[in-house]
Order: sequence, then structure tokens, then C-alpha cells
Amino acid sequence: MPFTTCGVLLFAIGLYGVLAARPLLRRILAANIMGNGVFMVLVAGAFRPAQAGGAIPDPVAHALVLTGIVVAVSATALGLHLVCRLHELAPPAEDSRT
Amino acid sequence: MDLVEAGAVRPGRPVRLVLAVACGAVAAVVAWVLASGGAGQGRLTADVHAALPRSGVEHPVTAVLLNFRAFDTMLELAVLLVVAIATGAAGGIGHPGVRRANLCPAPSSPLLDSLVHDLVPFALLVGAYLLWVGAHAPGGAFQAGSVIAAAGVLAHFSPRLRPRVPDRWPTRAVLALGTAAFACAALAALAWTGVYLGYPPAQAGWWILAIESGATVSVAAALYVTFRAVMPADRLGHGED
Repeated sequence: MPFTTCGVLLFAIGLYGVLAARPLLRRILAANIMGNGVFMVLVAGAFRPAQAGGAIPDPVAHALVLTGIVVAVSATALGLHLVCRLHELAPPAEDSRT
Repeated sequence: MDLVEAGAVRPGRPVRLVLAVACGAVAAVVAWVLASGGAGQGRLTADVHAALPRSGVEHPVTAVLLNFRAFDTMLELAVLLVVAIATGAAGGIGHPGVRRANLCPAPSSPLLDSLVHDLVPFALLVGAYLLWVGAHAPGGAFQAGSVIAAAGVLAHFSPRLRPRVPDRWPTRAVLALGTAAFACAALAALAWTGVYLGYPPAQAGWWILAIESGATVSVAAALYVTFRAVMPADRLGHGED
């Protein structure tokens, strides 16, 4: 339960960051925090000591999270690359906080 | 106002307060749903363990990734491939040299050189071990690929030992190897057993090992090449290669 709560909190913090932050880099980071919250909820939900079969975690949820991590890393890399290109094409002003 | 910030004007204080309250409400609702047991009880756990002897591997997560839900994993490799191509690292998109005077390649350091020299072979060994151990313990193609890509990233910071990535067909072939191996295995299984991605249970372990070997190489290459594409040092030295 504490892990699920932490995951939900991370999701909410990331959601706020995605919606409220201005710099694109910060938004990408916030989306990552959001995704990590979801992964944490999934992994915590996969382990149910109370269920019948003893304390065997659900392998399908683990596989989903593993797939999700790789896709999240890929999406982040693509996002960072696009931000880099944007800076090349339109160099930010001196006072930019990105 | 430049392009980076044009579409992203920071909301004012009242709007941010409302946003914060709304996000808190979302968190409360999600936590309440999860706490009240809204998610279904895992029947899949029993299904996976019942089918495990026919999957060809002993570790349930590897069995799910490479056998029961292999289609997901194939598409995941395709996502990695698309990102590697899209970042232009495969040479598909030309990079005009970036002009950033404050970013220059780090000078060569003997300490880093010797560290890379000693650590990279060890990382490759760990990667191979992770690939092999995935059949019966936590591990597999993605973990192995990540470790090998990390070795590449470490070597990248040492100018003398930086991996060469030629912009020719071998690089592209290595990037596509995992997806291609998976697609070929899927079609071969279709021809052999009549089921798409349905390996013959007796040799399933070897099929999975073959796919994972190809996937490891591709994952490592895609991760490193994507990292390389966003590193300024490489771009500055782009004209010299």
C-alpha cells in the first residue's frame, strides 16, 4: 500500500508539472515522473500477498512495466532530440530558463 | 519570445492553484479506487504459471515477454528502431553542425581511458550473462542491451576509445536486427506451427534465445546511437569523422 500511494503521488506531481511548467525540458521530466508513478502502481499492484497462490507477483504486470520503461525511454529520447533541434533552429533568448 | 516558449506560456498563479487542486483531486480519486480493490484479482498469475512448462523458459516474466505477449515485445523493439532512426543517428536525417561555443568535448583523461579500458569488457560480459540468465531468473534482452549500451556511453566520454558509428548499412542492419529477427521468427512459426508467433513448444527455448540475442544487439545499438545523437560533443566533431 505505501508503494501504491507513492506511485499515485508521483503521478499527481508529474501531472501538475506537465500542465503548469513552461520549459519544455521540465515538461519532459514531469511526464517521466508521471510515467514512473504509473509503473510504481503497476508493480505494487502485481504483488498481492493476500491472494490465493501465496506471494507470487503477477508476471504479466512486470512484463508490461518492462515494456513501458523501454517505450518511455524511447519517447523521452525523441522528445529531448526535438528540444535540441528546436534550440538549434531558434536559439533561446539570453534570459531563458530552459 | 522564441519558439521553445511560444506555445508554452506559464499559467498565472490562480490557474496554477486550480491546477494543483485538480491534480490533488485526481490523486485522491485514483488512490481511493486502488485502495477499494477496484483492480481485478490476478487470475493471469495462475494462467502464466500453468502455461510456463510449454513456454521454453523457466522465468515467468521472460515467458510473458517473449512468448505469451511476444507481439507487444516485437512492437516495442520497433518503437526503439523508429526512435533510433528518427533521432537521425542512423544517418537518415542530416545534422547541420550545431554552433554552441560553450559546449566542447571533454579533454582526454588517462584515468577515464583506463577505466573504460577495464570496465567495458566486463560490462559486455555482464550483458552476455544477463541475456543467458533471462531464461530462468530476472534478466533478458532489454537488461543486457541496457548494460551494453551503458558501456558504450561510458566509452563515449573517452575521446580515444569512443565507439565508431559509421553511417553505412552495417549500422542500420544492427539497429534493425532485433525487429527483423522477431518478424522472421513470427513468420517462421506461422509456417511451422500455423500460429503467428506460436513457437513449437519443444524448441521454444532456442527460438527465444535466438530472438533475444538479436534483440540485445539492437537494443544496445539503438540506445547508444540515440544517446549519441543528443550529445553535443559528437555533433561538434561531426565534420571530422
